[in-house]
Amino acid sequence: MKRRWWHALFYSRVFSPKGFLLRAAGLAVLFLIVHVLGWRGYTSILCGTSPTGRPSDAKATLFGVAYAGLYLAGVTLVPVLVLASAIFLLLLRWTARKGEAGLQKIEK
Amino acid sequence: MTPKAPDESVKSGFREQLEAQGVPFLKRAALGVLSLLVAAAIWLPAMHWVFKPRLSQCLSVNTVSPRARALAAQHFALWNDPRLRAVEIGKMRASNAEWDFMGRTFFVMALGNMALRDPARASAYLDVMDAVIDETIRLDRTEGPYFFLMSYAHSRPFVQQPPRSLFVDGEIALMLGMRRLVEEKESYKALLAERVQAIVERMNAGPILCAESYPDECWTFCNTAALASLRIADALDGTNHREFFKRWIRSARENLIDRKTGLLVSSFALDASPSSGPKGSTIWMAAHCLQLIDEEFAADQYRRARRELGRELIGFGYSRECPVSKVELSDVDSGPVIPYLNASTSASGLAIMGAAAFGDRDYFSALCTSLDFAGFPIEREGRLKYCASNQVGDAVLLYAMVLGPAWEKVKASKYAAPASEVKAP
Repeated sequence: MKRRWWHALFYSRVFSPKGFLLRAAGLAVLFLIVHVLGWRGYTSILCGTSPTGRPSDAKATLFGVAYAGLYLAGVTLVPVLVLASAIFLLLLRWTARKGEAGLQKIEK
Repeated sequence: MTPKAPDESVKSGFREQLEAQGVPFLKRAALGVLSLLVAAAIWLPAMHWVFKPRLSQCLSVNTVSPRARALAAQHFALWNDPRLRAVEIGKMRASNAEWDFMGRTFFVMALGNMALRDPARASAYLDVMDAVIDETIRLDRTEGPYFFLMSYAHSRPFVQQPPRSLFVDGEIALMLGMRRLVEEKESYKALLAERVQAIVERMNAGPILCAESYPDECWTFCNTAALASLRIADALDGTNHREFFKRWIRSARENLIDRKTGLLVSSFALDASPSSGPKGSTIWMAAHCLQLIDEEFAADQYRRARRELGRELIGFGYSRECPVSKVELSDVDSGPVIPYLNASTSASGLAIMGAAAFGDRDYFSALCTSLDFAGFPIEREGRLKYCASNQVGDAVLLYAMVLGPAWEKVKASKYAAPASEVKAP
């Protein structure tokens, strides 16, 4: 059976270049969703102003906090994960080559 | 139905998966963590470059900067559409009625500076200034002295009677003065004189030359704004409060300075007993207003505020609400405060104004970088608003981006002969 995309997201290895990339993509997609939903407008709760005019509006607070959190993740974690996946790939290749070179030495 | 074979890659253990690929789990995890650390070390210090705006976009040097023009356009839209204005003001008043009032003050102050920077558009700006001032004075008269105050103003009586808030008098006087600085308006002369008289009477009657904004609660923010309005009135009407200013500065040095930081405290009772220490949401505005009263003292306060409260972290600027030595809980003035950093939204917004007023371009730039990073700007059809802010916050930012000409005009004016000086009772 063909795996669903979210299957790869949740079950791919955490410590792998692909795992980092998939998690970066997941965060970016989540941020895009809340952005398209217009939750940016709810971030006025950060300065103590309810976007709906009702200071006790829990839904508006939740939307504002969720948007701010996903935005922060989007601009800090996503680039770090993308960069880290590239670095991770290079490190894995480097260690693999080092291992092969060691084996060749032993065989000789 | 035949049960599906378990997916090996999912069902087998995490450690087994990695080891099956020939890389031991611990080694792979260590390489992963190392990659994350290296990536973070590359990205985080570089991130501010993505958000750093060009200084010319924000700071108005000769004319009005594009960012300021876009912010002003949003405010014009609010003042041209009563329904939209009611919605925006309603949101703020639900949290704090003061913000409604201060949003008006900073918007009028910004328009005054914009009119002085751009005389070709002055007439349009003056129309809006008049509309804001007239409506504010009407509300103050019809709704009473508590309309622009928070509800706790009713909790006890003002010490000085009849009830009157220096917060309201000072800022209305600032608005009237700012309008007249751009172009004289006869009908505002008497209105300004009336507020000036009320301010001087109340401040002179106070034990340390300060008056109440709330019952038995004096604020340095309001007292320094009131002083600035007196200085503007001196420039416009030939009055002379120089001796009063000197006495006020002397009194402030003796009674209102926090010993540890050398900064003016934020609020105090009428008898000068302090109720809060120095705060970022006060000191940046106070230092800016004091530029009209005693430039040396103002510059010293700015330097101290910069040292005690101004911070930069990986290229992002912010202002602490309280000095390290005197951390207090956040309140409605500080807005939410980020723990550990003690970064306050309102203090950081007002710090932009302070940095612009004192020509601190590096700090101004770092603060604007934070604004673009965490202010959640939206620009549509030439109108800019910061979603993480509100109308008063945006008005403060607009003022910060255009301030200068009005204060320069006042500073260039000479005091009238001492005969008209206001004497202590």
